[in-house]
Amino acid sequence: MTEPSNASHKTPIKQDISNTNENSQDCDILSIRNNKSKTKYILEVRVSDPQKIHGDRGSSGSYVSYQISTKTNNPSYHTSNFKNNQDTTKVDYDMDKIIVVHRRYSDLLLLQEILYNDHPTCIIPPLPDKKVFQYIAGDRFSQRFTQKRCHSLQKFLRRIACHPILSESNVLRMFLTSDDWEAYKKNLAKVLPSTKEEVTDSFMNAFKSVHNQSEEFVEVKEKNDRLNHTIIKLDKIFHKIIKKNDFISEDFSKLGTNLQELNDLIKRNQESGECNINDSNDEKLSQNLKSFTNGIIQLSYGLSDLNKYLDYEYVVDLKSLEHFIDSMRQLVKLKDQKQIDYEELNEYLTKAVKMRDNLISGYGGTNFFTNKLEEMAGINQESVRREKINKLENKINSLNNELESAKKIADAFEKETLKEIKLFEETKTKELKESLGSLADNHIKFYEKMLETWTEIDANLK
Amino acid sequence: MSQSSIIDSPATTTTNANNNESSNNIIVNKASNRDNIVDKNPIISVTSNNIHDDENDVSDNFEYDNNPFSGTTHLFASGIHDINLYTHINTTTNHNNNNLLTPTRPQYLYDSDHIDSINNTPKNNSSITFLKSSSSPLHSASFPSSSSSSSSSTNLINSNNSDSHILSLDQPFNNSINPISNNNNNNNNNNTSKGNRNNSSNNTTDLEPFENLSISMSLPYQKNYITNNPYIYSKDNNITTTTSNNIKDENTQDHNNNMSNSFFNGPIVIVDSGEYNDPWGKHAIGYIIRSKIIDENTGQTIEQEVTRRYSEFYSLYQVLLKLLPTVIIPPIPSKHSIFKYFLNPINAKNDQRIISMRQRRLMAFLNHCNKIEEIQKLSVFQKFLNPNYLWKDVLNSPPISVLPNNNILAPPLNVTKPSPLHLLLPAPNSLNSANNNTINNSDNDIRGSITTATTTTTNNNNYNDIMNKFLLNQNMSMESIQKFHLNDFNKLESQINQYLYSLQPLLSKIKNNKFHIHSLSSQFAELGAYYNALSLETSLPSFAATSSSTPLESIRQLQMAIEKVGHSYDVNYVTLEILIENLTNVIEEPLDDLIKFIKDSRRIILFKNLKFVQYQIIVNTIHRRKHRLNELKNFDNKMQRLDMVLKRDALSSPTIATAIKNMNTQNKKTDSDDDIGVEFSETDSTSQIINDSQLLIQLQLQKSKKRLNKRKNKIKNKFGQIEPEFLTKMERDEEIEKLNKELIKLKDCETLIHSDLQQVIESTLKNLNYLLRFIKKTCHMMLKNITKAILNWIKECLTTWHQTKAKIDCI
Repeated sequence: MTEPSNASHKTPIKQDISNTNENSQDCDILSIRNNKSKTKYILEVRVSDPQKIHGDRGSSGSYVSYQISTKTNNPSYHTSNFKNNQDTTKVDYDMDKIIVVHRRYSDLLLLQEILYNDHPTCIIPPLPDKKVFQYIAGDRFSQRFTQKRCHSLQKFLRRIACHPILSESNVLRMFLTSDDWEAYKKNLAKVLPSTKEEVTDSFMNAFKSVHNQSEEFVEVKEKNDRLNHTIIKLDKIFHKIIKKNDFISEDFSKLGTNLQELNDLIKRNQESGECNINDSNDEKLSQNLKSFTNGIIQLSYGLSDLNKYLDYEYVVDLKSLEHFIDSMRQLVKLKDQKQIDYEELNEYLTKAVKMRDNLISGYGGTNFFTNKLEEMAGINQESVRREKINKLENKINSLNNELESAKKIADAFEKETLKEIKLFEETKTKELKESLGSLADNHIKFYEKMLETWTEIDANLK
Repeated sequence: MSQSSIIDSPATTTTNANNNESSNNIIVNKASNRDNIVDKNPIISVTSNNIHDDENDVSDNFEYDNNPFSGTTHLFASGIHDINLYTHINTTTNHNNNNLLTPTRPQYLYDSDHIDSINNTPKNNSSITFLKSSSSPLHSASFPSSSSSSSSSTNLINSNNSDSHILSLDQPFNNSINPISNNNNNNNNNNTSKGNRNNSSNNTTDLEPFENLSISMSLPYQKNYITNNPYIYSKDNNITTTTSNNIKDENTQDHNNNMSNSFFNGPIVIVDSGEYNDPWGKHAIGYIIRSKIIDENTGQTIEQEVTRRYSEFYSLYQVLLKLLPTVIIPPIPSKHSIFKYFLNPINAKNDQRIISMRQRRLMAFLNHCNKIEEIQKLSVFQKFLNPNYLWKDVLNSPPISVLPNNNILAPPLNVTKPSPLHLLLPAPNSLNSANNNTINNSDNDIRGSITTATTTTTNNNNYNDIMNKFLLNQNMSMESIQKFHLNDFNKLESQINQYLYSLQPLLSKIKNNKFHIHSLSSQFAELGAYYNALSLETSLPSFAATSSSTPLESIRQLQMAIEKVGHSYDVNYVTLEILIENLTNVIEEPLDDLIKFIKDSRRIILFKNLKFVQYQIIVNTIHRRKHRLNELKNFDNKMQRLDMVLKRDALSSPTIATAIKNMNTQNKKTDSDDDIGVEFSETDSTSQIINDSQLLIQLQLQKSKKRLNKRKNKIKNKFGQIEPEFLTKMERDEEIEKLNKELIKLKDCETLIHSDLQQVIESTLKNLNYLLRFIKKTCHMMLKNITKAILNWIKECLTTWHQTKAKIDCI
């Protein structure tokens, strides 16, 4: 892109690998269930290590690149990789090998777009917001921002990997493995059909609503609305909690320094005041104070660690779940769209049929003035009528065909959507479990550490 | 009625202020006042006479030289001394007078009163209670609870007494003292006081009839007089010292060791708080205090319960502050802000949180008090815990009712019994002395250093330097100052200040922290609610539920898990709230108390410094007076030597004799319109020549001096004193005599204040050390307690999250 620069800003972040593996295992099981016909493959994706890359030539400045490591037993992934390395001769692929690529946010955006176009009936997992504000504020290279984005990108890829159809996508394989992604992307970007039309289309239909909504969808919609509401609320509260935790952690560290000062004072007095009566007591007190101060500082650290987890992961999980629900709603809307299409066709057809029937039965449907005019022009009314009836007949036929296909499409769409929703529910359940588990884990970790520290202090005090 | 006449009395008696040497005067005064004034008035007039005399002395000094007390707010220096003085004396005499009235009470009255108002109190208290009820009818009238019987009895007693004074000036009356005092003895459990009583009564009866008369007339007053004014008493040796001592002992016993036979055992507990009606039927919030006493007589532990309201606690606190200037008084929770009270009066009254907070902190207050020996011993404190006393009565009875206006003018460890000497002491007031001090003497810098010392007592940094400078300047008081452990004090003070500076931010941090934790916990509560909502919403859609590949069971598990998470957050909320409460109880309040404690230590340090300044002023004054005295004496010597020479010369040479004679006649002419001349004519004729010769030389000297000083046009020295040369022999003698008198008094003052200072320093040191220990102890306690609280919090949270995790893993 723009000028090459050697300085690459590294912001390495440790990731809980064990956690990741566990999660992907679940995803894998999910995919096994859904793809009974196909052979099951494990697809583990991990996004980590966001790095600031200073812009290549021709492009606008620097960007953040994320390391995406994939572990899979799907041979095709490995072959493609090996082909690149001209190592096709080897038959026993190293299944344990972890494929590592570096991608940036816009790459993922492209992937999402392609998937969206390829699989209209699938709930394409959402990507995190573009965060325009952060771009302006220049905060997009901060650890907090990249770390959060990293986590949410991982969420995105995992959701795709969990999806039975999407995970089979060649584009995904390409994305996850190929070194040539850059070129691939450049070529694609020109040809890719824009989704703008659809957007306007759906916008025009936005005020129309489906007449016969099936019960299931009503239920799904209602549930999701409520769920969304709750999750947004939770998200807000967690944001507040994070802020409060920050304060408290800061308070504790300040308290620690204050206590330290007090301790210094006691020590100083102890040294200067040779006349003091209870020297041993003083020493004990200062020791106690020291250990207590230490405890407070530990508490502060622990709290800030917990807070980091909440901020970087749990809240991101919540947010992405929120987005996921949104995209599910989008799908439902699309389905509605199809149904609206069908319903409109149906309406049109009934109109045509009515008109034809009128014509056949006589004057009913025709305009008096036009009849008169045609009469004056000396046109054979009967022949015209016949012609018209024929025309309508044809139209009705074609409409019938179209209606049928539309119905088919709508039905199929609905079916797919239902399937997707089911899938979504399952993914959601998994995710909830996952995030709650890690939430509990982190809390336990925090409290256990604190318990250890403070039991020690308590023991020291006695 | 008595008050106005007391204040008036000095005006009428000032005329014979100068010759109060004998006790006759007392009787005369008494007789003249007897009719319209109640029996205690004579004493007042007497004492006021004496004091007035002193005052005259002092005010005389004002005119001639630099007053030692100038620049201070001393009674005599300021114009308002009359009122202060008399009210003060009034109170003290009031009380003592009544104390001594008790023996003269008839038996039956005593008994009835005893039953009425004393009930279960230790019996040696009785005198005090009587005092109160009989002290002033006005007072007792304001106590509906006990007034009806006692006020009437008081009147009876009063009339009895005055009757006896008027009618029986002989043996019968004297006899009447004996049985009653014996009665009293029977009622008294205390052995020592019994002995004292016997002694005193014996003494009085042993005297001869005539003297008995005067004594019986003046005995109560004399006693008062003695106990109050031992100094003045020593001037007129009418009564044997034993009596005065005995009575003194008795007094101190009454006041200080009033209930020394009972002490508190174990912690004092405020068991409950709530609304109650105080003895006057007023609606209030009462705090029920339970304490244990060990009665030394019986050796039993008695549990007593008393209900006091906040205002009573507050008044106790105020009284303690006044009573014990060298003791750090434990703090009590602050009053309701008036603003809040107006905003929400009902709520403020009934706000449970404030009440429970007060209950906690008042309990802490009482226990802190109980740990401080000086307070624990105090009868006021013991009475506070004793349900048999109405607090209002205690407040209106000695020692509280006789508290001096200014602590500094009283013995530091026993403020309620200032000697007259104490009243003579200068009362340095850090600010006033700095501002109003008009320094016009050579001790300028010393004075300055004193005043700056007092002003800088609050900011201690340069205090040290000044004190050291002071040490260098005042060599004569070196050894005594060295005893003051100046170093120790400075060290202690700086330590205490450092503690204050490090504890204050700690408190604010903790408050801040508490606030944040509180808001966090409220967020947790909300979170818990929303998780519960989430658990309800995480059910599969009905169509999916039937055909789902994930079993329904797992969804149910998930729901439960989410609910559990919500529950965990609820637990987090509750435990955090508990933690906050613990923070308040265990850290914030003790820390707050501690800070107040430390702040209060400044009061006693200031008191100590004021005492020190007082001492220094006295020492300086003595120094200056001595100097002046020496000056005068030297001059006198010089004059005598001159005189001798002149006489000798006059004998040998007639020319000189005639010259002297001429001079004398000249002088007589010139002096005829002079004051000196008048005085001179009055002097003894035998010393005329001497005086003449002296005058001659003096005049010569004066003339030469006048010539010299014409330009300067002043005859005063740098001290503002008139140079001895300009004084006549009479004036000099007068001044020497005055100075001698003053010096004696000042010496007395010095010894008094010296011992005072010693006491103050001892007590202050002790208390400051106690404070330091207390700080450490409190820190230790706080650490221990808060660690426990934190541990509990952590444990609770950990278990709940473990449970949650288990539930999640079940899915």
